[in-house]
Amino acid sequence: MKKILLLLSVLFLSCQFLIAQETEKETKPRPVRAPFESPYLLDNQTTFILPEKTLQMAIQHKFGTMEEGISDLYGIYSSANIRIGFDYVPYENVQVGYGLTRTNMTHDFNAKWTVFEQTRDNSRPLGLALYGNMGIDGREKENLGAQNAFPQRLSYFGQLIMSRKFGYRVSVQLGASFSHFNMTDTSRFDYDRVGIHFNGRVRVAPTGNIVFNYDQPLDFLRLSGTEEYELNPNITIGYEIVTSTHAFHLYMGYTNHLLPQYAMVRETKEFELEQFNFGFTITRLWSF
Amino acid sequence: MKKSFIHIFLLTAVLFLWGCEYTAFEAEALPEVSEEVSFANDVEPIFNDAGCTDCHNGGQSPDLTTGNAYNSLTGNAEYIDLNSDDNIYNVAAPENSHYKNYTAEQAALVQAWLEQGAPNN
Repeated sequence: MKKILLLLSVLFLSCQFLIAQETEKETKPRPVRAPFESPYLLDNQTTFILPEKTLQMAIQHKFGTMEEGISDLYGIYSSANIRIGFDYVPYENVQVGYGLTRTNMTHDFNAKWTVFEQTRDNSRPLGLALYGNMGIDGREKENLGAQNAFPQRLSYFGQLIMSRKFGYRVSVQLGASFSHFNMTDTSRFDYDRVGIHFNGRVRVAPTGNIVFNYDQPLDFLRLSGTEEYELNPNITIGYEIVTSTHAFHLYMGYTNHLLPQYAMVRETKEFELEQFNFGFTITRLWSF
Repeated sequence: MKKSFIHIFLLTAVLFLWGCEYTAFEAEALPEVSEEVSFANDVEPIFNDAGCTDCHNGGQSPDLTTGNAYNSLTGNAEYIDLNSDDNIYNVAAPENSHYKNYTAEQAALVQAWLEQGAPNN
């Protein structure tokens, strides 16, 4: 039943897209210029997609927690989580990508589609994007436990993102997401998580923005064995520097995870400042 | 062209989600270890082999590098409390970013060493 509903939802979305295409032929209002500077906004994706035929490489790095204090320079010399990813824009407003993250050596294949953009004449006051990824646990078979077939390695994340650019300085996004792991240790983690997301940027210099995100996992779809774990918000704040071919984020945030489904489902640490960590993201663009 | 791509995109999304399933993690049964376990020969190499020392190499506690691991583990009761009679091991399992990177055989050796009193042998 759930799968039939899912199929119907996708067909409905598909029809909506075709109707939207027809409408666009008649009047084509111009979209707002770059609601965000990069497809990445700290731990989230934005509704912004780079121009067609652009390749982006992203290096994401999160240091360890600050709990050891000065002994490991507030986590900078502690264990780090790393993701290196590549994203390509084959068609206008469609992005596909691949990345490899240190957590469980997870390979992720992802896609983003900006369904429509906010327009300058405000005929469409919001931008809307769909983002999804599939993660594949890449650890050796003997590390996965008794059940270690391929389907048990899979995890998913799907997100609907709405954005609004308020003039030159401020852009914000609201999102809703669903995360799922095919296999989980039910005494410690859930299979599924619904989350809401709020993030944005405030331009404070021609090439500099203060950026933030707030991701809140919601307290339902929980298993009885996991109720002792609190669902804490992932709060991140940072600074973004942008050039024509780079975006650089330097930030401090709660979760050490780089893939959103891990951050939403498998983050169980205490919500204390000493559990936060520093991190950075660097992107490099090439146009073809 | 774009329309067909969008349909492929949506179809792919459906196929991905069609693969969703719900399977509870089952730990592998630990093999029995009857002989005496040596920390230096059996346990300490696991920290290298399982990648623990990639991070726990002095910067992050406990220091699991060869020659330092025993003192680091037993010097802090948060990890191993040699003065406790019933439960000398106080950390449940690696979590989050390094969720289980060791095999059942390796886990069995460490557990047997703990049950034998965590000697420095």
